[in-house]
Formats: sequence, C-alpha cells, structure tokens
Amino acid sequence: MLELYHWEPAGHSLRVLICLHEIGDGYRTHYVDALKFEQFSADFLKLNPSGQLPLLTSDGVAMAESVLLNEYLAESYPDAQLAPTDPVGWYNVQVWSKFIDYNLASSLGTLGCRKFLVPVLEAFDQAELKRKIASIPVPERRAAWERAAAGDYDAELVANAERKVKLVVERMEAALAEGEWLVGGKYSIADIDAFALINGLEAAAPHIVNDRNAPRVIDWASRIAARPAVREVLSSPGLKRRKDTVFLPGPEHSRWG
Amino acid sequence: MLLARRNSRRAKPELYHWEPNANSGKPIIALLEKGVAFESRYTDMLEFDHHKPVYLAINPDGTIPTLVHGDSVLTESTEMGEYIDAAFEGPALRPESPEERWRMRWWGKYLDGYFGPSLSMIGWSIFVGPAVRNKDPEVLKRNIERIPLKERRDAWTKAIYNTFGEAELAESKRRVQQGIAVFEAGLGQNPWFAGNSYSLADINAFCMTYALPLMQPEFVNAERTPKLIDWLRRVYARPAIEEAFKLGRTPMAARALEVRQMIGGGHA
Repeated sequence: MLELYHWEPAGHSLRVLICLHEIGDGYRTHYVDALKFEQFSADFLKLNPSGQLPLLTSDGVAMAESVLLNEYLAESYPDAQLAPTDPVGWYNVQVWSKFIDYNLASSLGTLGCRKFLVPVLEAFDQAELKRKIASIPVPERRAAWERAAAGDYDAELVANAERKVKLVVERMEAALAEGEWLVGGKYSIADIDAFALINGLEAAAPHIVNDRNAPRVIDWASRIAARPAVREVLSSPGLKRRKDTVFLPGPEHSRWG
Repeated sequence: MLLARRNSRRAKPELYHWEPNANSGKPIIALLEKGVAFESRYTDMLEFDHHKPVYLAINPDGTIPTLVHGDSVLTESTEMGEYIDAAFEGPALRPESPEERWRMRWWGKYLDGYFGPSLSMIGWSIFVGPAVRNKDPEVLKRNIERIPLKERRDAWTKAIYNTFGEAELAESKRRVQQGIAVFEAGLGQNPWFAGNSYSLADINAFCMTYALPLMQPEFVNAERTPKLIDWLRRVYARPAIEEAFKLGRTPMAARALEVRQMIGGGHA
C-alpha cells in the first residue's frame, strides 16, 4: 500500500500527487502542515531525516525526493505509460527533470517565498516562530527558514533566481516548438515535474512566466491543468490555502559548479 | 542541458573524459563493468580542452564527460550510467527491485547535489587551481570568457584567482564529514549502496570517495569507518576499476593505487 505524506498540492508535493492520480491505483494520504513545522517533528524526521516533503512509503519503505518518486512510480506502474522505456527516452526524461529541479526548485523557493511567504510569516507570533526555526535540526533547512523569517532576499539572490527561470523558460519554449510535450511527443513525468514548479512560477514570477514571454509554456501548462487527474488534485479538499500562499523555502542555490 | 537524439545500438560509443575520477569516472567504470568496447577520447581539463570550439561543437555546455553513441550525445554523467546499463549487453548495473532503484538514485542525487560539490570545491582549491594558475594570465582570462555555463565560469574564476572564502571551504569540509557519516550509516544497513547488489550508486560513490583514506586519513580509516573501508576494498578489487585507472594521465591514478595498497584491497 502506498502512503503519501504531503503538504498543499503545490511544488514538490503537487508533482507526486499528480503522478499518483494519473496512475489511479489508490493510496493513503497524510497531510503534514508545513507552516506548523510538522515536517520537523520527531515522528516525521524518523521517516525522512532531511525534513522535506513529500515522502512516499511503500509497504513500510520510506522514500523521498519528488523527482525520484515519480521515476519510481512510472517504473512501478508501466501500464500508466508515464515515461518512455527506451534508453534514449528515459535518459531525456531524467535529464529534463534534473534540469528543471536544479534550476527551478531553488528559484521558486526564492521568488515565491520573497513575495508570498514573508508576509505570511510576519503575521506569526515572532518569538514562537523564532523558537520553532531554531529547533530545526537540519542546518540547510534551518538557514532557509531563517532567511524567510527575516525576509532576507537580496538583489543578487533574486537576480540569480530570475536568470535561472529565464534559462528554463527559454529551453522549454524551444522544446515545445518541436513537440507538444517535453520528451518524445508524449506526456510524461518530465512534464509533471516541470508543471508543478511552473504552476507556482506563474504566480511567483509573472513578469517572466506569462503568455507574452512564454506562449508555448503557458499553452502546455493549460493543457496539463485540464487533465482530469490534475484537475482532481488541484481542486481536492486537501487544498486548504489560497494558491498564492503555498510557497516554502526550497533547496539552496548551487554552492559550487 | 543537451538531449539525446536517436539511438543506434550498432555504433561503437565514444567517450570524451578526463581522469577516471568524479564525473568522468562514472561512465568509464560503467562501460568497463558492462564490457562495452569504446573509443576513449581523453579531454585534458587542465588544458581547457573542453572549452575549445571543437569540443563545444559536440557538447555546447562545455562539460565533461560526453558520450557519443550513434546520433545520441549524452552529457549528464549520472543519467548516462542508466543509459549505458539499458543500451548495452552485460551485467546489470541497476537493481531489479523498484525500491532499490529508488535508493540507487537517492544516492546519486545526494552525491551530485550535496556531497560532490563540497568535495569538488575542496579538490579544486588544492589541486585544479594550483595546477592551472601559473599559465599566461591572458590565456586564462580568454578561457574563462568562453565557458558557456555561468556556474562553471564562477567555479573556474574562483579556482584560477584563488578567491575561495574561508567560510565556504569550512562549510564544504563540514558537509564532506557529514557525508562520510551518512555513507558509513548506509553501508551499515546494506552491503552495497543501493541494497544487495553492486550498482551505479556504488560507481558514483566510488568516483567521489576512492581517495578519501589518503585525503582525510583522520576521518576515513579502519577504526572510524570500518564499513566504508570494507566497501572501498571490495570495489577496488573489481577488474573494471583496475582498468579504469589505466586511463588516467595525472598523478591521480597513482594516488588511487596508493590508497588501494593502504587499505589492503584489490589485486597485488
């Protein structure tokens, strides 16, 4: 039995929720409230020591990292045809997902949190927030939350995030000029992985991700959003917050190389 | 990021690589483990071969390694391993079980995204930087200017002008030490990184850890990290590893043989 620990249907949690709904084989869900810091509770850290969502368990085996979870699901449910099985197609799916993750996960964190999470955290009881953040046991996660609580997103950080979003949008526009989907003319986990982050960037970076700068990306995103599985996820009762308040500090920007 | 095109299984693959180390080491070892005949195209990173127009015509990102197979050009070393395993005959380098495959990829991500960059920053500060810094300043400047990826340009700039910050090097050292503890814990649960069989995760991990007993003897040794040393000994004993180090041209390969002797692994 698959069980998914997730937050709102946004970002990394959204990726795996879409994939599970596309497969449609049933799964149990556990809502972990990231704004209550439940992902850093002792119980959750036992499942995932990095304190990150989402997390999938299959018969007791706990697995993390959304891109890898979708690869796991695509391979475990070949009938759902969510990834090509030939070596070149599989390589291209993996490379797209990695490129998207490397450039967009950190950038979505920076741009989304700066705009939407900072004001949300400002309304918190500051002493309690400080105490909660100080007790996050993973240094990289603690640093990311400290930055969000302080609203510490300087111009250089923002410019670097915007540069990476533009790079991805440019490459996606080029790919979508050649075919309807990112890999091999078929909808795949590469599209799902990219969609979940692009969906957030439409709100977090509307000056870059819009139908003037990125017409093919917007069209592609609307085709994905119209899929029954995706509509179901985005309108699920689990959605407790508005679309524009669902940003969490993402992974750090690359330190080297 | 470059996508592969069509596949032609008949063609003999060509691998553009530097030393059998880090990213270049991964496809070298994978091909040798599978018993695939390939053309080795040694690409001298210290001479900036990978930023020259002839190389950029093959891989516009200017990264090493590059695998050319038929009409396909592959430039991501970790994913290249999966391609090599799927496209060629020979012993499987990926586990059958989906959970073990997930674990194999989890290690790949941890190594590529967390441990590797930290180790690399230290390695570049003590080896790559000093190895190129004495060249003609004009040549160095020109070489930096033609590096396509911003992240790589920044890394080379730091290495050449030695502008590493103390804090970032200290943070990298902390992460390397944490990685060593994570490896030791992982190998306490399974004989190999992904689980019960040798896989691409072991190849990736080996490419980044093979010299640690020599580089960090106070942290990686038989008393402190017995599982990691035992695993290194088992990987060093594989014929493909011995073959891989023959493709090296710098003292790095000799260093590997020194480590092997030090930990008492491999063939005599």
